[in-house]
Parts: sequence; structure tokens; C-alpha cells
Amino acid sequence: MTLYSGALARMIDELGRMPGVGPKTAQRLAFYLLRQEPAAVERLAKTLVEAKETIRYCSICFSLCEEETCKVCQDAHRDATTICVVEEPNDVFVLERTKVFKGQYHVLMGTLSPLDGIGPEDLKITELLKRLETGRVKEVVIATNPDVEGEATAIYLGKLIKPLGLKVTRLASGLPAGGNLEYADDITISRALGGRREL
Amino acid sequence: MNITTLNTTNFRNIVEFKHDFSPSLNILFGNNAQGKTNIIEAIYIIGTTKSFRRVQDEKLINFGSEYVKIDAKIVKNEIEKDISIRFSRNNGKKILLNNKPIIKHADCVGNINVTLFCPEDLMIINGDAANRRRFIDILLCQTDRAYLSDLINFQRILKQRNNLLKEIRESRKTELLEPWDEQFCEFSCKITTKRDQCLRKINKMAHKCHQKLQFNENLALKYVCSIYSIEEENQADCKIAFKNKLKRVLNEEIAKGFSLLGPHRDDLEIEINQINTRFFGSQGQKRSAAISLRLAEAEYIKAITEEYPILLLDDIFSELDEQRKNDLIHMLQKKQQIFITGTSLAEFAGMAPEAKIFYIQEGKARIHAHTKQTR
Ligand SMILES: Nc1ncnc2c1ncn2[C@@H]1O[C@H](COP(=O)(O)OP(=O)(O)OP(=O)(O)O)[C@@H](O)[C@H]1O
Ligand SMILES: [Mg+2]
Ligand SMILES: [Zn+2]
Repeated sequence: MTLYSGALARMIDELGRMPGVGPKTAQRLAFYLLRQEPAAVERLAKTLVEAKETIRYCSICFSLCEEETCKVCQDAHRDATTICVVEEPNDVFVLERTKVFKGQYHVLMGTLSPLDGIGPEDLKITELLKRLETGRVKEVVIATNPDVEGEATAIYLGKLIKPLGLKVTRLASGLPAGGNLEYADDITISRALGGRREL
Repeated sequence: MNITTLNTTNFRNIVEFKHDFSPSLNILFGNNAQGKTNIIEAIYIIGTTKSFRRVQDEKLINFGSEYVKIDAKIVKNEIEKDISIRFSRNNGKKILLNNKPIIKHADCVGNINVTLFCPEDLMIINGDAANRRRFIDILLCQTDRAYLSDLINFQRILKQRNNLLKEIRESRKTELLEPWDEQFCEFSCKITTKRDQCLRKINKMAHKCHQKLQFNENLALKYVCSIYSIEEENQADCKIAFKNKLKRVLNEEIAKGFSLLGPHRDDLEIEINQINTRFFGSQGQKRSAAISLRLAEAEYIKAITEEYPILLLDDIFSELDEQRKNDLIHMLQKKQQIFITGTSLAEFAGMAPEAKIFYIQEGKARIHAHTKQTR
């Protein structure tokens, strides 16, 4: 890294902080950007800043939106008796793509992971319990990933929610074990939604 | 099951290798440090995608080269397949099966099975418990696809759980263990049960093989298990039994900050005539016990996959006396494809007529003049 200094080094360092971008890719991206017209780079920078300013987390379910609440939470036709709990905002898009699920969502913003110092208080669990207090919700579908962290989070939530007298289900494991919702295809997800099992 | 052709480029000190093999016996001989073990290693990688030397893939690339390629033609159940494994310093590892890329490298394991005999096997007898767990884990990974993923999951849960135990020691609530313990127990039982079942079979096979090498010795293997008494065979019982045991050690676990029970603490006791070989065996006894374990491994693979694995015997003949050498050759005869290395042809007197013989020198392999035409 000592090869680069000044603005170039800073640029590579910033790019390299992004997930999935190693030092080599960061260098490639930096050199690519430097080769572009100034207008193109400005447009990219402006898009990033604008997106960051306008996009925020829904105040109810914590998925991404540009208003106070998201489209799903605003939609009166959605089934308010079922809430699907997912790990990341992106998972909402993945599930919506299949058009099978008609209920509402709740994004946890992560999973339990002692290795990363993440405990229940770091997830949107208190907010979920508040939503359940209203009494409208009858079923909670837990759609965390089928890896060990997702599974631990599901078990934890099950122990918390079941005493409230609600039905708690887990997305059926049509999903590959240790897999990720993000990488499963639509048919697999639809099937998993259809065959969810009670926790 | 056998490997018909091996074609490597830039594999360690072997810049170029392209030869057909005999479906029965192949002998590689030459002076020290010429490349014999490297060829054995290349064949092992075709079977397992990894080296037995436990090194990063980069170490396999010839000094000064950018990439390494190992191609092999194999025959299994009379079906021919092409396996190609490449690593490059820049782009990592790629595996192709019949010219199609394999995404999950674990899917490649089991296309062809190998059993390696090498001097380091003595560590299974002599070394600490991790060596013996490794022996059984590698065998199960070769024969049971689900086992590897169970093991990976278990190791992840163990790490998470150990971290949490330390956090609980500092400040966190004990209840947080519950969701991890659920899975910890489940995977512990799965792994323990599979190891135990495998060892019961291996035990019988090892005993039989060992008697052929040492007729007056009774070799016995016992799984020393930290989570249940081996009698409770049922998995549901196992989970309940383990959960109860965990409760009893909870405080100690929190104080120590790591998991005290589970398959990561288990061991394999190896006895000859009811005496623990690790502590009381003679050097020769340990050596033959190690060979018996490998022979049993090959028998186990045969029992599960219906074909003998390829046997790779690296440098083990030099350590055996005439009698045992003959017994071993007798046991191995024509069952499967075999690769044997040694420093001089004299070691193989008596077996040479039917073998394909390669002379290895400075990374080059030459077919030795005395080789009888095969096939
Ligand atoms: N990546 C590499 N590039 C080039 N040479 C290498 C590489 N890795 C190992 N070697 C060399 O390969 C040589 C042969 O090693 P190998 O272990 O195959 O010898 P051998 O014929 O089995 O000898 P021995 O009889 O002593 O066991 C060693 O001298 C080693 O330095
Ligand atoms: Mg060697
Ligand atoms: Zn919302």
C-alpha cells in the first residue's frame, strides 16, 4: 500500500472499506474512476450523496424507503396479522420479488453473533415486541438465514414471542443449509414460504 | 476406482508431468528431495482438493511460476471423468469436473477416494487428541457429504459459544446461551454419533488387518466421548443426556470461558492387547498400528463406496522389516491401484515384475526400463 500516497491512497482506502472489495479490486475501481470524465465522477458522487440523504429506514419495519414509512407499511391491503422477520433490508426486496407473501415485514438489522459482539439489544427486537403488543398480529414468520447465527436468532425470538400466545413459524428449509436468502432463487423462496413450520 | 492419467504443470519442483498409470501397482523411486512425495501429493489433491501437508495453496506453485495446474483422468464405477484443479497467485483456486466449474469445492470430494500412508501417520498414535480426531474427521468427510457441513456448522457454533461464555463471565446474562446450546447439542450429537458408528466399523476392520501383520496382537479402538456414554445410541437420548451434562458444568465453563464438553474434546483410544499404545507401545508396534488404521480406512471406504480407494504409500516400506513388508504386500495385492515411493528399487524386490516403475530425478519422471508393458 505504501506505493500510493495522498489523494490516491485515500481513495483506494475508502473504496476498500466496502464489503466484498479487497485491496486489488479497490485499486482497479480507483484507476477506473480516474480514467472517467470529470462529469461522470461528479454524477456518481452526487448520486451517492443524494441517495444517502433521501433513503432512510422505515420507522415501523426498518426496511428502506424515501418517506417516513415504507410502501408495504403504508399499503392498507397488506395482511396486518402476519409479520415476516428478516435480517437485512435487502431481504425484504428478495421476498417481495416472489409476490407470495402478503403480510408485513420487520427488519432486525443483523443477527445474534457473540463473535461480533452483537447481542439482542443491538437488534430491532424491542421494536418488534412493541408492534406485537397492539394485538393485531397473529403469526410471526421468522425468515432469518438458515446459518447458525440466523438459527440462533430464530430460536431466541421463538422463546420470546411464543409466550405471548402468537403462532411462530420458521421458513421451511427448502433453502440450502448454511445458505443465504439473498442467493436463493425465487422458486426456492416461494416454496420455503409455503411450507413454513411451527417453531 | 483408479487414476489413469496425471498431467501437472508447475506443481512444486515438477515443472511438467504427463504419464499414464498402471491400474494396479505404480512404483516411484529416486534419491531424496527429487519430487516423489510431490507426485503423491498431486494425486491426493485430486481426491480431496487439499494437500495433506496442511499448507496454503500458493505453496504448491512452482517457485517463480504464477499458477499450478493438476489435471487427471479418473475411472470410477467404470465411468471416466476429468478433474482439473488450478490455483493461481492472483485468482485463487478453480476446480473443473468434466470441464465444468465446480462452485462448492466440497462437491468434488468423493469423486475419487485416496488413502495415504506416510511416516507422519505415527502422529495419530503418538500425538495429541487433535491428530486422532483429524483422522476420523477426514475419513468421514470423504465418505459422508453431510458430515463436512455438520463439522463446519459445529465449529462456528463452538466459536460463538466460547465467545459468549467469556462475555457471560464479564457481564452478560446466562440465558443468552440457550439459542446456541440448542444447536450446540444438536450438532455435537450428530458428529459424535457419526464418529462413533464409523469407529465401531473401523475397529473391527483394524483388528482384522492388524492380526495379519502381527498375529499375536489384538488391536482395539475406543471412542472416548465427552457427551454421552456410548451405550445410549439414540440421538434424541443423546441430546437430552448432553443438555443435562452441560447444566452440570455451566459454572465451570463460564469461569474458564470456553466449552468443556463436546466432540472437540473427544479422543480415540488405541490399545494393543489392552494396553494403551500411545504411552506403552514400542516404536515398531506404533508403526504397525498406524498402518493397520490406514488399512482399515481403506476397507471402510470400500464398504461405503463399494470401491477400494487409491492407496498412496509414501516412504513406509523403508521402515518395515522383511516379514511385515511381505505381509503388507500380500494384503494389498491387486485389490486396488497403488502408488509406492522409495529411494531404491531394491525395496520393492519381488513386486517389481508387475509394476509400472518411474524413476524420479530433479522433478522429472522417467519410465524405468524394467517396466513391463501394462495394458
Ligand atoms: N513450490 C515449490 N517450487 C519448487 N520446488 C519445490 C516447491 N515445493 C517444494 N519444492 C521442492 O521439491 C523437492 C522435492 O520434494 P519431495 O518432498 O517430493 O521429495 P522426495 O522425492 O519425496 O524426497 P524424500 O525421499 O526425501 O522424501 C524439495 O527439494 C523441495 O525443495
Ligand atoms: Mg518424500
Ligand atoms: Zn415499513
